[in-house]
Amino acid sequence: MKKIILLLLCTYSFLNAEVVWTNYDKALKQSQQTKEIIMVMLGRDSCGVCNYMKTVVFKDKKVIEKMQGNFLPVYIELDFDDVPNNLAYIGTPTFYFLDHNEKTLLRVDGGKTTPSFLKALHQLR
Amino acid sequence: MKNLLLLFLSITIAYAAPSFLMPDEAFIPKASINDKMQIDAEIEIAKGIYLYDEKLRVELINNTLVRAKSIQKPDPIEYDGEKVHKKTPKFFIELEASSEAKKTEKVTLKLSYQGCSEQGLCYEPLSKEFSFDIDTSKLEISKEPLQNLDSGLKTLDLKPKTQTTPTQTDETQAQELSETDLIADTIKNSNILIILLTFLGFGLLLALTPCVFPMIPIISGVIISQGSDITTRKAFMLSIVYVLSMAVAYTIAGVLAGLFGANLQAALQTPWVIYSFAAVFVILAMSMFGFYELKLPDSLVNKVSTTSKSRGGYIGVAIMGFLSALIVGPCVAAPLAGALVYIGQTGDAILGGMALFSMSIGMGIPLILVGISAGRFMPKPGSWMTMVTASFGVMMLAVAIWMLERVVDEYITMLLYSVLGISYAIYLGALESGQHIFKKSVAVVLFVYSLALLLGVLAGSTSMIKPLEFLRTQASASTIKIPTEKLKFTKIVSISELDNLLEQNKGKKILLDFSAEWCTSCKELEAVTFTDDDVKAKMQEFVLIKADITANSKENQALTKKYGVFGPPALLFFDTNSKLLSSKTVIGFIEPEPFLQRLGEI
Repeated sequence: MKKIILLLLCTYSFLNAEVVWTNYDKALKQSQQTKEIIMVMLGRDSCGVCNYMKTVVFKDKKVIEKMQGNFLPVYIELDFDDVPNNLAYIGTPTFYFLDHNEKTLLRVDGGKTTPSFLKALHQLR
Repeated sequence: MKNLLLLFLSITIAYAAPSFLMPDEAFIPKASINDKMQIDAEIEIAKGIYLYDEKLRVELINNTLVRAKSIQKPDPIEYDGEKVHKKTPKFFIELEASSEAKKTEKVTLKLSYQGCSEQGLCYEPLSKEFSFDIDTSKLEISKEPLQNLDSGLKTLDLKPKTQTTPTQTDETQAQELSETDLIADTIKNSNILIILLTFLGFGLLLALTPCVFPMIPIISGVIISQGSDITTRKAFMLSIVYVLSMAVAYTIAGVLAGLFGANLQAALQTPWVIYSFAAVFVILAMSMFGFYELKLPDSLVNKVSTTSKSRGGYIGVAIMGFLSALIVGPCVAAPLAGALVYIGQTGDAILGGMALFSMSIGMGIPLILVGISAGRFMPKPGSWMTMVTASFGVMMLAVAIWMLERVVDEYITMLLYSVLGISYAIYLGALESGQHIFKKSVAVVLFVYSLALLLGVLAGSTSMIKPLEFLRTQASASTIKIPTEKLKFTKIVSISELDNLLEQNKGKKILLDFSAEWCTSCKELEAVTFTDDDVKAKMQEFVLIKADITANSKENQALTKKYGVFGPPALLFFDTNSKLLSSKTVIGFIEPEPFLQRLGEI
């Protein structure tokens, strides 16, 4: 009986899972303990490609599944937020994958479709 | 919609990682001017790049005398649910000049834009400025007035947007004068005799306001305390001295206020001044009760001649008049403020001072009449006389309590009133039999009222008019509650607090009420005008802010100075853009009827 409830709960949480964005300081602290990769997304509200990433790619079940426990997503809104470590960019969205020492593992300029974004994630972990 | 993007993105993966153009390769803004002083501009975009129509702006900046008459631009196309330009957009700008423009005017054209690469990267918002020397002789002269040049910033959002044009109403309002300014203008432009007569008239009218009422028992008391041997002539002389010194005090205070913006009256509203003045009244009252006679010590009297003894009475009265003007009646009304504004604007303290003096005399004339009658109808010594002087003693005590209202809690003053009333009623014989029916009735009514006050205080009521209100709320708990909500004012004491509120309440009409606890007219305003049902209903439309300047602190002074308010009460109005409507300002007490009318004009 207990197992069934647990299973139901798991399914439920899986169905409702989504990418939980955090801030850079929190992500860095957590990364130092869990060694998860920090994924910084530099974006703007006015950028259509960023919205595509947020509403399509990061809503994809496979992407959500892959990110859980492996990546710590941080969203930087360039209109208001400070860019951590002055990460360079020519436009939005720009993705930086950083390790727990803030070393850049990969920089991705521009948006990607779900398969190619997943490919990048798999490359890293 | 998303599919389109998806398609493009999928194509790009086929070619491995995309390499993006740098922003200065993706967009190349250009602008040039022709002989007819027309500007051609464009933002050249590279292949696979598009511009958001919403972010595209073409504007002329830095010049108020030359503006864009028309800007032609291409229509956007629909792409992935957005309006964009995928081909280099070209603009054509025609200029026009104001008649005040010089032969050559420098203008700056600013192009602002933001776009993305179809490969999935959005560029940062960018802008580029171009400067041109414009030969205005080749331009059309603007027919519209200069003010409508939109402060030199003609922005053309390519999205159809309503252009904001400054409203004409601001100007007409600026020409409309407030009552205060009107009075200040009268002084500027009128014959001196007319000014003095007008202010005498203002004074007479002011004498009927509660500001002057407390002076009636004071002057009567002062004259009666001179003793039973007072003649009508002496009573008249004493009243004149009282009124003259009161007028002098008003004039000095007014001129100082006008010249330096210093508020002498407010400065005197400090607790220790109030306490000492209240104490003076208590001493006066005690002497009337016959506890002692107020006289200079005999040793002093013997040293000087008998004539100076009688002069001593005059000096006392003069001091009384001087102080009561400053402490008892700190009321600001439109004529007073008008004279102060005149002095402040012109620095002409003499004419302004004369006007103030004339006004004070007007205020004093009824007091002289009171003084004379107090002397004239002075009863002959006997039990009747004792009762009259005792009654004035009670009045003096009441004045003392009234003054304390400004510095102590209202529960305490109400308690004092009730104790005073009960004692006086017992003195009059409320609880004794065999009194004259009239005297007994008055005594009993007073006794009952004072008892009600006492009960009210004990029950936590602070209303002098309805001390037993707490009984009614209990009794009518089951009946439908009539919406007689009290008006809610937000209290502020400094400019920064006010600015915050003004900022927060942009888009709403605002009423700013300058008030202080020592201000009699403010109390009257709150009790009479603000309680009127129609006024209350209308006031609900406003954001109500109360500037409490009781403390007369540095912050308070800065606040009053900023808005040119000499003292409370003053009601200022702000429009929906938080702009002060100075012509609508109300200074001093105002009746519900005209106030309602004023509210309607906002």
